[in-house]
Amino acid sequence: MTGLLQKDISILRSEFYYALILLLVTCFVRNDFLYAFCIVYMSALPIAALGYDERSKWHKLADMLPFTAEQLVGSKYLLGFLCTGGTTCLLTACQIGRASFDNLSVMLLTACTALILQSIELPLMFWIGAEKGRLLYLLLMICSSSVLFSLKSISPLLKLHSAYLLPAVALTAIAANLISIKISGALYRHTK
Amino acid sequence: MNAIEMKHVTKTYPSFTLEDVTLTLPCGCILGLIGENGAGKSTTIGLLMHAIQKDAGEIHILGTNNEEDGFLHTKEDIGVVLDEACFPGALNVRKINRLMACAYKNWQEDLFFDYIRRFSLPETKAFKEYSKGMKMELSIAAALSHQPKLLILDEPTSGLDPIVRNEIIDLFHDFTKDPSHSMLISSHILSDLEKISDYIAYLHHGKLLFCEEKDLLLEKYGILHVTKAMAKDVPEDAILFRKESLYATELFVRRTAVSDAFEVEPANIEQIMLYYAKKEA
Repeated sequence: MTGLLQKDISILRSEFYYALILLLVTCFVRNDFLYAFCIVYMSALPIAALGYDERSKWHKLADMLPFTAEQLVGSKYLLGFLCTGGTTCLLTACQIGRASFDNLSVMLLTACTALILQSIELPLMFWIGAEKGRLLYLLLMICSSSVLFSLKSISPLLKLHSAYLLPAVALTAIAANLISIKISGALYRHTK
Repeated sequence: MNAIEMKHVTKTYPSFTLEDVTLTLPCGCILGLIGENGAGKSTTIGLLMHAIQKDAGEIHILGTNNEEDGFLHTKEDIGVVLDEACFPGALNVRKINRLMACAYKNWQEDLFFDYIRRFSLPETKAFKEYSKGMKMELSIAAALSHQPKLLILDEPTSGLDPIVRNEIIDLFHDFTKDPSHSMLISSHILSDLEKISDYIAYLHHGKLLFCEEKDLLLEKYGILHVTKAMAKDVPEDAILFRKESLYATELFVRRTAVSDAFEVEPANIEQIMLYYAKKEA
């Protein structure tokens, strides 16, 4: 899987440059939206990697090589975990460095939500392809953003339960991704 | 042992069916898979490598059923070149080397870079900037660098200039010098296949019309150029196909059924393929 991960990192080089600039800017600015944007942008990189794979018809060749469906699918999830986790850790370190702890829970919540979105999106991408999947991803983002904004109206309720909210979302993200990996593997094999 | 065994393999798509394909490639031999565009050559290769799920039949590669878990291990002994080079465009030779080293346990970096030097391929240039010939050469280098016992090649020479094509054919010749090495090569450049194949299999609209030893096939059929008057002396049952022009007649004949008095020219694979296609139509 290391080779597949290295390949994805190589093909996403330009995306990583943009991400680095964005991260540097975000580290010095206190803005919830920028934090969330950074994390969501990085969590979408496996989708970009799948798009590149599709364009180069890499899967045609990958199916001929001694890779299992689990390795081919799992590498994309791993990329998502590394990108989302790495960004969240970096932003958290920046926050802690500035002794600012206000946005930590928002960032962690965003990271978990991004991973839940990944768990929904990746099986769709393996099923219908990256091009159509990208449209669905946008739709998913719009829907989830709308839900989050509508939740603002019940923010006092959320604050009340914030102690439980983060662990609940984190557990949901873990469970969703475990199930999602299985589904993606099965869909990958099915599309043969 | 057979390198490839396909028994009654069928795959149905909404607009195409690969129908009941049965073919065998003994170890140490080269099988040329011929057929027009869309005949099912790439589908057959996909089925062999279990990249496509078959609807019916049985496939064994190097003695392993390709649906069993052990086939992943067998893939270590198979080199594949597809009709289009499918490495991600952003990768260069060095990154492709690292990727393939992770894919194959017996990947030989030195051998890979030997091929790269032999083909004079730039190591730092991105794959997307390569010419078509260079891309194919890199794919072939990648397919040969883990010392495969079986090479499966899908149109490796199509769209290449004659110099690169000859270079690649020479490489295949070298590969097949080892008696344990086998090769399946699909192409519609029949002259290339005629040069190197031991067996020829012809796929036409998803049906396998024949899979025979090349020499037997060439011995079986012949071409007779005669005048219209002379054509009458050729036994009717020997004539499989005739092409008439104003002054001469070209007869595609069964060689054993024609008397030695006639000077029968050997038929080539293209003429045999055309005969079978016409017979099928």
